[in-house]
Amino acid sequence: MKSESAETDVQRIVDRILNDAQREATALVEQAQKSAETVLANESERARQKALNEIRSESETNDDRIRAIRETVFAEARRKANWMVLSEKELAVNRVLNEVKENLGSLTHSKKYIRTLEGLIVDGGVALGGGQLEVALNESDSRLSLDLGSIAEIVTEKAATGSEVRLSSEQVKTSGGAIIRKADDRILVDNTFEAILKRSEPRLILKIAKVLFG
Amino acid sequence: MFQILKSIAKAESEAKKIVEKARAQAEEMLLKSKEQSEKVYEETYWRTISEGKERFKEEERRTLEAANLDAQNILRKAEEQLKEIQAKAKQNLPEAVEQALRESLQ
Repeated sequence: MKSESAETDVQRIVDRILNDAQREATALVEQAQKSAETVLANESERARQKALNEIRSESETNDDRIRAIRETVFAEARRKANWMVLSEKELAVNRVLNEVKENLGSLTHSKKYIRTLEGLIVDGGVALGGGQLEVALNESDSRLSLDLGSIAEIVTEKAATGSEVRLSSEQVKTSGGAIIRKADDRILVDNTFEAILKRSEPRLILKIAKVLFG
Repeated sequence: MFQILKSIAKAESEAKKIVEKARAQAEEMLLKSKEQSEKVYEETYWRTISEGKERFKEEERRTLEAANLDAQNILRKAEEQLKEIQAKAKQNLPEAVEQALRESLQ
């Protein structure tokens, strides 16, 4: 009986020794497991922070790049939109200019053309300061009966210089209007329709645009 | 008595082995984690960089998409403006021709 009890006591001591060892072993492994996980977690976090820092510093460059992309798209759209609007306006203004040219051409067949032509010759003569003047016309206008005497009188009056106007034997290629030149030198005023339009085109374009588009 | 001491000594020896085995296992785990740490570092670093770049790309894609929408709006407004210009040009053409004629022969 006593011997049985002693055996049980010994077994208890042995079990305790083994249990304690098992507990210590488990604790050691668990601690090592935790340490290993911590090492890996720390390393992972260190890598993440380093990468995030690099991304952060690249972020500003990226923002600039994105801003540039957006600006490029906007600028391109605005450029295209402006071009569309300006082209349409230019087309409309050119349409008016072409109509003006056509109307000037058909003006030569109207009754008031002779007065217009005389006015152009007077303007040219006055601009040249009067004196001995020659007028060159196109073939068809050369056959018109212009009152050159009256024209000379008006020029004389407006330029305050005695003036004479005669028709030049030279004929010019123009839809209408006249070239007025001093007989004694080579100064001339080109008042043909084409020249008038060319001279006044910049002014006309502004005027036309204002009337067309307000 | 001898048997008792023998049993205890045997148990202590076994206990020592258990602890030593665990210690060896723990050391191996720590060693392994140290070996793995470089790989983990590299993987995490490149994964984070890759995610960041992906974010940049996504941001760029979204910005571009929004900018394109805005650009389309600009062009749509220009189309509307064109129609207005065409209508005005048609309506005011006779007056513009008349004024330009008058202006050019002045």
